[in-house]
Amino acid sequence: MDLVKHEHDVLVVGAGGSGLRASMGLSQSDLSVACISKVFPTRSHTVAAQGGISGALGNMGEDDWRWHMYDTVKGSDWLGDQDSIEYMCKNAVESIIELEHYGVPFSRTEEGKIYQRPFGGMTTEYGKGIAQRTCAAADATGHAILHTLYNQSLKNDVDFFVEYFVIDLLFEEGKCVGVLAWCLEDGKIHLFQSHMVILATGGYGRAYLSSTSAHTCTGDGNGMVLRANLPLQDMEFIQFHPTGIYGAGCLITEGARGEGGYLTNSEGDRFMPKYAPNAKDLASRDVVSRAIQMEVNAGRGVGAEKDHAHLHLEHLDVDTINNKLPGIAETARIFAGVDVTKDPIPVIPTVHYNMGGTPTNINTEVLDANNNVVPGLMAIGEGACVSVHGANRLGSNSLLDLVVFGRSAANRTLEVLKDKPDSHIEVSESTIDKILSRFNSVRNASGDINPSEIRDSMQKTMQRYAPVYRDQATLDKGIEIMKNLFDDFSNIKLSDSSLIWNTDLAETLELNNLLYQSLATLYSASARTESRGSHARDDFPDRDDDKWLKHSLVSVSSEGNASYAYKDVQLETLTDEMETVALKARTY
Amino acid sequence: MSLNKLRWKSRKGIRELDILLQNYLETHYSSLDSLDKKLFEEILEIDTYDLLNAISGKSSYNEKYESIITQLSKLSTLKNGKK
Ligand SMILES: Cc1cc2nc3c(=O)[nH]c(=O)nc-3n(C[C@H](O)[C@H](O)[C@H](O)COP(=O)(O)OP(=O)(O)OC[C@H]3O[C@@H](n4cnc5c(N)ncnc54)[C@H](O)[C@@H]3O)c2cc1C
Repeated sequence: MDLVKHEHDVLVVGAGGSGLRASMGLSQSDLSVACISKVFPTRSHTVAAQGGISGALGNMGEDDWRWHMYDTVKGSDWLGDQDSIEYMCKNAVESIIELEHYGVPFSRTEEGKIYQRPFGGMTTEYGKGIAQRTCAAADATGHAILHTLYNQSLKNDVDFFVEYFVIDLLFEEGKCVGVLAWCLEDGKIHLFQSHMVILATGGYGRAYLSSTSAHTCTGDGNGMVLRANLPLQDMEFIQFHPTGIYGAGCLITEGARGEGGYLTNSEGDRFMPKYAPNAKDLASRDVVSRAIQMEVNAGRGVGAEKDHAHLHLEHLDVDTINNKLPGIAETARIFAGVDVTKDPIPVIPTVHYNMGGTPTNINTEVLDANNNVVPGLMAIGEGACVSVHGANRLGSNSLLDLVVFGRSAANRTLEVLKDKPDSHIEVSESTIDKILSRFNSVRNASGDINPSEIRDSMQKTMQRYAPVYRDQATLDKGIEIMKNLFDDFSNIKLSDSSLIWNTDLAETLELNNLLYQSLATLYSASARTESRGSHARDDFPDRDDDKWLKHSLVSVSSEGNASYAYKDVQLETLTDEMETVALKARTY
Repeated sequence: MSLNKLRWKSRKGIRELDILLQNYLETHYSSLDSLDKKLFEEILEIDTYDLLNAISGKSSYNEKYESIITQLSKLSTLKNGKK
């Protein structure tokens, strides 16, 4: 196959919020920057973020980044690294003001300040009051951020390669030296060489049957990392959003409860006060998700199958619904057939966010299983694990993560490439051949199994064997099934081996990435014999800090076997401006 | 535009639209005449939220898209009726 060759100083893979923030930052230097994306940038999943972005601006009352940090550490169930969390919370205000200057149209208070709303888990004075810390641009914050950053990147001459599917990373002697990508439009394979690759490919929600993720969310970068024999971190931690619409998976944002919405069971009882006496319906996501599952398990679920709950907005005045939560009434009408001014919305915990991903240090540099920096490779966004979310992410902390660490990746790259080499390291033929042979074997696959069958089974298996509540038997059964599906992949058939707009092929490559990540998730979950944050084990109901106050690292071989490593959680803060948030039980 | 390419372009970044558009491609697209097929291609290029708002009846849109947008919005309720 003839390769089309490109050389850039930096490659950003992914054009969601994190990738665009990094691209934009880099484009203001004299480095040449390419941003590669499999979908048009404004179709990235960041467009879906509705609720907002957190930061202790204090526009609606007193606030402090230390309170934000406390909430984030507690939200993470102490698995988040406190140096990274300090860095993120401290840099939040500046990063948000920066977004405002770039042109993000944030909603305003009457005095013209950025409006901030309450969000689950966000408190004042270390848990005492309810904070209003989340900045929103109507109900389309992600959309506004994505469009603004895309326009800024265009203005600053980032080279965009759109509808290019990155297949794998290129390594020479342990250094990442570029990527191979397949252009969906011209059908050619492109060789991109660079001094730095920044992965920003997002989460892998599509591993599950019921998720709030768009079709693009297949975590491709994490698949590439595993195939490069590098580990992924904390993959057992998957956040279930408590309020996905029953049946469709579409999300009813937490903002709905922020504005006064509440949950009830089949007896019409508000059950959240029982599980979280203080925060009630505004407790953090895992607490609310678990509460719903407990009610369902106790036979108090609503609906014919008694398997979900009701979210009420009927008591709110129509103006609040229309002004503060405009998208929600429509989503409920279309996907649940419900008029929110009259009836409750049927909701169920639905996969929403991946806390785990590619391990990095605080400078976003990717780390191997021995905690050494992998030269030439960085990771940011939902696909990375830096780790600020630990065992559970607080709503509106993800958009913050994207912009703070997107910016930090750009800055760190400028430092690393201050004395950049004059030429690119040559990519050997064998390196390229290995990747192309995997690509071609998928493209020309003539086995017996239709990839969509494997996809269905994978999604059902994750839903059933790695749900909100897990135990050893279910997880181990899940591993067994997933291992077989992983093997089945070598026996697939593809009816179309063309190279131009072969979406079957693209989706099959995505499936391969999902299978790798599903296995990594099950392996890590099965090994962790405690409950922490989103990882709730029936057979080990308590957090076990003696044994498990550590990050899991898991690698998956090309045969689908696991190898494990662990590393300490960083309890020390970055500076003496904030003391370590001491371990204690996590109650709301 | 090939059906495959349309499938990729139906990825709008949010689950709601991805479900609706793919569903439409599978159930309605092939019976459209060539003019409507062209219109559907244009619809896929409409901004994500503008399109969602048009389908949910929240905002107005170019009336040439009316028949397809109406079909899209019915599709959703229909699917729910079955659930
Ligand atoms: C419905 C919903 C609502 C949310 N609301 C909020 C909220 O209110 N506040 C908040 O903080 N967070 C929210 N989140 C979470 C947040 O939106 C995501 O975590 C975040 O947008 C992820 O951004 P990202 O930059 O990591 O990746 P994405 O935006 O997912 O972008 C990934 C990019 O990588 C590219 N890519 C992937 N694979 C490849 C490949 N193989 N080759 C080339 N390119 C590739 C894609 O084209 C895309 O450009 C929400 C999530 C959902 C699902």
